[in-house]
Amino acid sequence: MRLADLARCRQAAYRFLGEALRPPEAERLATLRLVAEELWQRPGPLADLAVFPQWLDLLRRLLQSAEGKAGQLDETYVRLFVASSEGICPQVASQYLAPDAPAPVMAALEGEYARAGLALSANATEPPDHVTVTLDFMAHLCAVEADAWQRRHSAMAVAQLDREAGFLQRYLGPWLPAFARLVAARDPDGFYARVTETAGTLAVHDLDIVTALAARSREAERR
Amino acid sequence: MTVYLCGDLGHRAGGLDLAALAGWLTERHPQTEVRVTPGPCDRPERWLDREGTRADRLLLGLCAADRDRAELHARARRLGFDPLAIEVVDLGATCALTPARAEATRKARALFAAALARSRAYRASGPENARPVFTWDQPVSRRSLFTLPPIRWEVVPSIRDEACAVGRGCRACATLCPHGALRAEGGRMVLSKTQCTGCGACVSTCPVAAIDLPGASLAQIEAQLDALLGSDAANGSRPGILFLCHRGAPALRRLPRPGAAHPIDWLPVELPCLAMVTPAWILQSLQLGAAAVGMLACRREECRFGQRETVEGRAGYCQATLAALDLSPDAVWVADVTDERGLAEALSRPVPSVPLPVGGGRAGVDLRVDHGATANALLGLARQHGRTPARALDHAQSPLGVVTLSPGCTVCGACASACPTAALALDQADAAVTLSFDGTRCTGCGGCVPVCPESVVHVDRHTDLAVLSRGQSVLRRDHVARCEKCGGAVATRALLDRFASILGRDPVMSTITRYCEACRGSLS
Repeated sequence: MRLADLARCRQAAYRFLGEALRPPEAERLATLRLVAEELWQRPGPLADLAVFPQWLDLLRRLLQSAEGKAGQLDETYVRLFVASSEGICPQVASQYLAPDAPAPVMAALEGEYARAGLALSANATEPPDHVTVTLDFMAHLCAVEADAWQRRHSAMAVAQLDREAGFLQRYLGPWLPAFARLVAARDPDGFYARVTETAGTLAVHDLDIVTALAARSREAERR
Repeated sequence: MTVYLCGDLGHRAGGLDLAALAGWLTERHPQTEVRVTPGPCDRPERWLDREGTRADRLLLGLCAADRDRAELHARARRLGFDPLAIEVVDLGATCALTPARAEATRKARALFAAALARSRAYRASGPENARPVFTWDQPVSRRSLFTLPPIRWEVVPSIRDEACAVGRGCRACATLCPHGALRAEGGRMVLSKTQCTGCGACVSTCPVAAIDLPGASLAQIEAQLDALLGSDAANGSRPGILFLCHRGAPALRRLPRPGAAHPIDWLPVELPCLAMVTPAWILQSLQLGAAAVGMLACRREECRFGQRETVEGRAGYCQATLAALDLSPDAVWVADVTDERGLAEALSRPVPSVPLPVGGGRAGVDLRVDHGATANALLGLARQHGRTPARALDHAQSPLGVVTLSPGCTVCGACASACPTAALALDQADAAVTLSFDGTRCTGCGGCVPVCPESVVHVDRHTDLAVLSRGQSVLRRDHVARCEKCGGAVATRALLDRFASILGRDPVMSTITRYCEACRGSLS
């Protein structure tokens, strides 16, 4: 397996999960189903990851049940993430990491994005610590890593792995599992419980993989 | 649950009666689907077709389960199946080579019943229980930098923070781990996945059962042992429990005349590493019906977990304990996986059986440290053999401790707060406060010693049947002085005496002894 391919697969996984957590508009769901079909047929290096059983379950859910079709998920999405008399499952990191002082978390994330040469567009509707933004950013980091491996620029790839590890350790790992538990408690068998569980599991496993790869690559660099 | 049986088991050596085995399985476990699979079972991952994965649990009965399970697990994962929900029973080593077909089939039933119990006790694993391992088949180089070998996922334990006693000062797992994989950090016990080898030693040592190793969890081992000890595998005689790691089954198959001359029907229990086996596991197996307990261990230089000394130390403790009870220490042994002759001798050694409990039903296996697993087994053994409780044993590997106090205890309760198993407990009732000690729960961890402000607490790694049979006993009792103003508790008399010894005739003493802390603040 080529490391560039693994990074591309991880990029696809984060991107897919980010999209799945956006409002379930018809066009978005249709695209997700197309991508899900492709990933089901050709999982590539994703099949080697420990998250794969959950991943397959999620794809199956999207492809085989009515949930993947337009209109079916609207109510659930609103009830879980937008407004509900029972309270919602916040989709923002700061609500889990620092509920009393969200501003520093958001500022730190914007700093991370800026260091990667990115900024939220002026018309962005989601805050910088929104789950979809953080998953998209992680996908971006994986894409840069894949490019570095592709160009056989190992020092740059290792630096990128370190950046990914830091981001996972500080911003995704500590709250995605808690977010997933909250969603699972509210809607145990629902589509979003699968999406958030997969995202939380991927973040934990990915940190292990990225850390091990960085250590190994550094060792090779020294030789 | 789907059970796969390798078709070759029907005609290897004496062979198994596969039809009878399958019939028994479906009769006893109606939810179980049994498939006898033709063809060799050296690559069981090929059995895991999509149809097979409809079941949530799989049980594989193989002629040989020597191969690394990484491929089986990888295949299961690719099919969307939880790899840890697969139980493998190595029937080749323990059944197919047993000379008589009926005996072998009976033994296979016992092993399957135990595997089913172990499988049912499996709950689930989380992302914290998997760690990736990259096994490059070439040394690290610039060339190999851009590619990746298939990722192996190994199982590592996880810690339930809500149950962990690290907040009370417990460091039992961290102290035991030979790889330094556990450390207390920020009020939590943290496991380093990169340093952990997954040996599982911490799981059975945790005094509050807060560490879980999916696939070999305490609940799973309890269920398996319970089924084995309650089985009729030995046709009325007493079975032997044989703890082994994945290297053990091949060693059994290499024996010159396997099963031929064994006075005991050995039933294997496979673990990640024998370092999981504590004295409680051994003694409880003996107490609940095993004629003997064998441990098939790797040599010191070959154990990938570096745990041989732990295994020998614990076996030594059990042997010494049995000897102290005038029972045969030969009922517990350790053999090398690579020493076929020694292993054959150990398996063939006759052992005088420990008497079984008289009357009443057999208690279930309970391996939890804080439930007094070791002490209960010891007391049961002593009772069954009619031994008086006036026996004591000093042993460096004693999993039990005895707490004593020298004069000067003020009954402040700091020791009780630090005790992870509640062996030390402080009870307050009306005008008295009592510090009690329950030897059946004490692990001799010594956490109570450094927290004592008077330095009067002592712990000996000592197994004392008299202390154990007493259960909870009073270490120190004292009266509590009452506040003259509100009637609330001021302090124990001993503590006030201690203040007096420090402050002498200081006028503040009269306030301290008469009023509680809250009322002292409001005095003008």
